[in-house]
Amino acid sequence: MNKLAVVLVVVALLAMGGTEGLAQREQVRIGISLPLTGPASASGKAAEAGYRLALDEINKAGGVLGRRLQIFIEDDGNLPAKGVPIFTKFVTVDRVHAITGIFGSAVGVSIVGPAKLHQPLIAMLGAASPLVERGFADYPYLFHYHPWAYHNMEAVFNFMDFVRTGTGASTIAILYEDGPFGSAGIGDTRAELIRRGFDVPFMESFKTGSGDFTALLSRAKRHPVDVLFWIGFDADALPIAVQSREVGFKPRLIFGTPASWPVGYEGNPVARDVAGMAGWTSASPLPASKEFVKKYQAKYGSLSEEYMAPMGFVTLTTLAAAMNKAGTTDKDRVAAELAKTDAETPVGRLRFKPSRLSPSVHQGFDSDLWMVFQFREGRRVPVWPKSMAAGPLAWRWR
Amino acid sequence: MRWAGPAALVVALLVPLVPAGGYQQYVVQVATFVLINAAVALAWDIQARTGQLSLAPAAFFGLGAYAYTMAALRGVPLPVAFLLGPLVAGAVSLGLGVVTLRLHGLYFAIATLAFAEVVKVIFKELPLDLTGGAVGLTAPPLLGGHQTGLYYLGLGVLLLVVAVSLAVRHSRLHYAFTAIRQGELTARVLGVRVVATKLLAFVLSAALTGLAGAYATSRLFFVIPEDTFGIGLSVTALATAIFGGVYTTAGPVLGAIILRSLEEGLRLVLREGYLAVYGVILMLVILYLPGGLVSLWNRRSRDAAGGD
Amino acid sequence: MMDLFLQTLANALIQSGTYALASAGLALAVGVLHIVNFAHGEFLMVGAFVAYWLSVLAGIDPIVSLVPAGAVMFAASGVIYQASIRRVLLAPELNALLLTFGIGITLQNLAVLVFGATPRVVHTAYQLTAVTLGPVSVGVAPLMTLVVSVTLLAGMYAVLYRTGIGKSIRAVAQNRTGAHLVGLDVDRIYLLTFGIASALAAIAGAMVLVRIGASPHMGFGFVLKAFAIIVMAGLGNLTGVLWASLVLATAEAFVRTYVPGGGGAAEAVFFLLIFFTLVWRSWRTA
Repeated sequence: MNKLAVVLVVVALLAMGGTEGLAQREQVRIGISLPLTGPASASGKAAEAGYRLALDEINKAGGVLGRRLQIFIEDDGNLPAKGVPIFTKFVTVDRVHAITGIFGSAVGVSIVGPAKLHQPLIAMLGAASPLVERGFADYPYLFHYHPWAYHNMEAVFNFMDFVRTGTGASTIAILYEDGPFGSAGIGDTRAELIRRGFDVPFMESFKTGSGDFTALLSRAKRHPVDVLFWIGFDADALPIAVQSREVGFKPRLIFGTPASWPVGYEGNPVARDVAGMAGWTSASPLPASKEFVKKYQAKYGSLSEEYMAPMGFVTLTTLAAAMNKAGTTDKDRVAAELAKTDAETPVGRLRFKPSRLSPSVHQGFDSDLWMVFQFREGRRVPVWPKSMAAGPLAWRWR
Repeated sequence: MRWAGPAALVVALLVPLVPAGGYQQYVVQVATFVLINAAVALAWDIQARTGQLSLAPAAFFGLGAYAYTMAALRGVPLPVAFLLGPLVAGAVSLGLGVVTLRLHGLYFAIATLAFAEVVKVIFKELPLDLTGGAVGLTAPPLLGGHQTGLYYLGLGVLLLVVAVSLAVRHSRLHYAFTAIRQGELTARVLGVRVVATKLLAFVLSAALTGLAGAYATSRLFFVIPEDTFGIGLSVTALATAIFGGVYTTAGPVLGAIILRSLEEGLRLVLREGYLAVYGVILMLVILYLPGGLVSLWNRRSRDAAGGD
Repeated sequence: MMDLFLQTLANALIQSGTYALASAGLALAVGVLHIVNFAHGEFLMVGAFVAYWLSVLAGIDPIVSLVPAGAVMFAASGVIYQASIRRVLLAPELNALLLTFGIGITLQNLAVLVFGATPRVVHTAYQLTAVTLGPVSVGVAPLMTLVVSVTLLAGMYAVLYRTGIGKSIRAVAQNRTGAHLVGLDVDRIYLLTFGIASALAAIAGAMVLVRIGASPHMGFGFVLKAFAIIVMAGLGNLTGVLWASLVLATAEAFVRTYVPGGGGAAEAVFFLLIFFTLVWRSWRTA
């Protein structure tokens, strides 16, 4: 009888104290799913470095809700068959308070089912495909940090407008890889460029990594093209630049949008003035970025040019901040705080808005994330937008 | 070893019910992907018993997945769409089987590989509103996405493949398959209807692979040509079957269970470089157990039974 | 119009050099040892990385590094052969497939662990130089690949058909037991052949480094096409590798050049051509 009384008292006390008191004594745990093996692991490892940097900083500043923050990093290999069980493990085994990471779109779509079942708070790092956006329609706990594929294209359009204003360029040749990364909405891209008054006399797909662009570039050469715009991966960067020269194709600007660039590319003469789009470069003039670079160098002793490094850093930092502001790990309250985020981050200002195709999804960065740089003297020199530019756009005059 | 099969079935049925603490749902998820791998590997093995090394499982898996998705998105009732998967895969395989009837060994393997690659490109290049192009399509989940229900559905798919495999093993087909594998001429002399048998094996295998594809899609909620028709799928199928032991029913299933558990276990323990260790283990197993994992088992049971 | 046609032909010829080089070693391994080597692409990757580090650390040009890259892989493949390959040669033939698959996974993931997954590129003086002949413009680097490829294939042909050791290799390829009976050391010949085949893969890797770069995952695409090429050539047919490479590269180049939207479809044409060749041949000879 006495025991029962004690139990009853404890229960009553807990009920009065609310779940908050309990949550504060519990360690805050966050699950991070990243591709650490396979071709996408370059981005995954960069993001991991960013996450770990953020973790150090958060715990140095007193952790989350007064306790050390604990993270679980798992390798999803960019494969749904690994990503789905990992997602479930985070929720049911590690009992995390939020899930972040998730770089690839295939993993992003495949976790829709388990997500709807368990309804965890998700701070998604990558996964730009519209399939992910549509899949998470009506899901209230998704914070998608990375711009969607159409945001990326909007940035391209704006950059093209800038190029035309500065140089009078009006003809664009497009090469895009035939997978989901390069092909998403490619028809709309062309239509929009034409709507904006550009001429797109040449557009072709290619198989990434094949290394043979001579036939396509020989064909592109027959058109008086100002800009060669290519959408592909790091392995395509060297062949496109080299083989353009080989076949005598001389666009006035080569502009590519791979997620990362090969090691050693910047030092290759062929890369001179090649333009690339990036979410971030270490040369960014933003104060938050300069600070990030300093901290990154202090921890790792080297510098990363992968934008996934600051992206990972930003994701965990803002997530932890929202938890601290909410004063609880209750996902509704954390989500409400996260939605109010307004932060100057290394990659620009972060504010969440209702997503375009699925308004219940909180969309973070948009086309404003992107900047364009040119390789010059072995470095990446930001040239666009004006607020970021460290130099003028270099342009090959005919 | 009579009890091994039923015992395994009981364990499989109990997986979602075992109170594995917090790990339970995670185990169910991993187990679901094991079911898919096992079904594809065993379906591959059924056909391999005729001596034909096919690299087309990816094509039939993808055809099943796309048939399900495309039909479901056009309002076909989900169970019907689900059954369209194996039907479409089986129908296409009949055509491919007839055309490649006279190819053997590596020639057959590469012809089926080429077929799979061509199908992948076709699905990439078809009009966007038909297949979603390179970006793919989202697929509606079966059973309302109920995780445990889907696990049992997956188990049902695997059991069907197992049933077919056992039926082949314990019927006259077994001798026909084996005879063809050892030499088509001899088989013909022995009175085996070589053409019909080879086609039957090919179509059965493809239809079952298509079923697995349709099922996997109802779990993964999407189809993308590069993943759904990915050649890695075919390679995994044959690696799984060889690892477990070819020309058996238990081998490919065992291979799928062990390989996946091994990978998960190594990942949890090592974190870095676990796939390199995984590769080394593949090498060691095939060097020391030339008959695959089941040879370990058969050796013991043979000892116990005093020779077979 | 004629200009584009000639340029397309030149592009095809150039690309066929890369294909032939990537396929030559595989043709030898499959033709003589009768094993399907899934790790061939990773051997190519090893060659690319050897040449990469020699270029970065010692400033050695990749075209010179062909020799050390080939030598490293020749030696490494000897170890691989002794430790593993020779033990599956008499086992069911599917075993070699899983074994080499395991070797491939191991090498690939070791490379990811040590070097990371980002491709690495080198700079060479001739990378940006092109030779112009009338309306046709061709890069010097791929031209060198073509020359290396033809030279090596010709060399291999000469060794196989003009030397004693070549005669032994051919004998073993045709009939293992028979070769053994007439007193040939079959095991040593296998070891040698596997070594040469692997060295050829590494040499191809060094050439690919100049064109594309080095990365842990670079091998697979090449090995897939290489398999298709040697099968189209006919197993054990070395000269066939040259023409099969040329035919396939030509088909790809023409589809890319003349078919609108042909960039992505070229891949399908490559495999479609192989599919129909194999099927057609099987029905014709029957």
